[in-house]
Amino acid sequence: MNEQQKKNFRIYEAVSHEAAMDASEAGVDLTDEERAEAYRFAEEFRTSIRAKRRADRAAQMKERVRPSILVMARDAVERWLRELFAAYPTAVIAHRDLTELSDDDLRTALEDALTLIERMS
Amino acid sequence: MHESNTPQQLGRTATTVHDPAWENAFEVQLTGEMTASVMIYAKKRAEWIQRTTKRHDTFLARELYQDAVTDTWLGDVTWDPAKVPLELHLKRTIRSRSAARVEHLMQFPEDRVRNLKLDMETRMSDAMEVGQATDLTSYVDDVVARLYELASDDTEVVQILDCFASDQIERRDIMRVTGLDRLAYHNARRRLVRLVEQLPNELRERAIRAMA
Repeated sequence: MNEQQKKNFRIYEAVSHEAAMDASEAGVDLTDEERAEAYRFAEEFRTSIRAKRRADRAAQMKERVRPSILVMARDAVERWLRELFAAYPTAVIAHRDLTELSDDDLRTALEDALTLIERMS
Repeated sequence: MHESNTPQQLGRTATTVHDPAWENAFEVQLTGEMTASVMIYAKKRAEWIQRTTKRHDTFLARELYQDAVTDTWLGDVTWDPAKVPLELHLKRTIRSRSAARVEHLMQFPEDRVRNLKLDMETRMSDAMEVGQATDLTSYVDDVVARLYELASDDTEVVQILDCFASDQIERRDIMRVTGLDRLAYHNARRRLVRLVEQLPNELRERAIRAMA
């Protein structure tokens, strides 16, 4: 392409871009089926992301939390944490409201609390 | 062409690690509405490619928007959430890829002939294909010449076209160069888009008349 042809291509490309931006801003030109496909694609992608992030968190927790805590049931973890709160009422321990936490977060909270106490003693 | 209705495997690039804030921004911004908007953009760009190359591909729009999303997630294209919204990033990715595709076919028309040969719906004689391939740049020249002709009474639209020619494509740059304020730019851009929407039909009709 010579210089003039390159210039013309830039114009040709840019006006196509402007027309496409205009259509997408107006939200027109999709069939119901295509719109549904776009929503489905986004939802499925987000589901995959959430699954991946859960897996990442689980892997991180396995590295961070001692095995004896990992095998404990939720009730046992909650009971142990409450005992720690009672024994160390002034200690700064995040998440004293245990009902809000997932099982994984609860185990991480117990690991953090025990680590903190071990450092203090 | 491989057809895919579902998101591709997210773990393809095992080494790509985003921080949780990046992943959170990606997940939050990847809404159905945003994806639909990106799909419209991809559809228009796919139509543009097909109009230019005369190659029909049913799945091109889908390929463009799904690849942009997947490649961003995998880190094959870089997205900085602090600098640009995901929607604009995806449209820019699609823009760059579709422009590269057309530009490549203009520079290497023999590739276009090969593509045409692979496309059952557009099989033609070799002589016709070669003729059309080499005409691609002149087709673009015709379109641009006609655009200037149609916009000849509209100084502001002509100014915008001139900016495009010198690779000034961002609104801020165009406003700075032309001296147009935001409203004037917005209105001129709308007039340009209306002009462009009518252009292909006009050129097509002219070609049909010429062949008749």
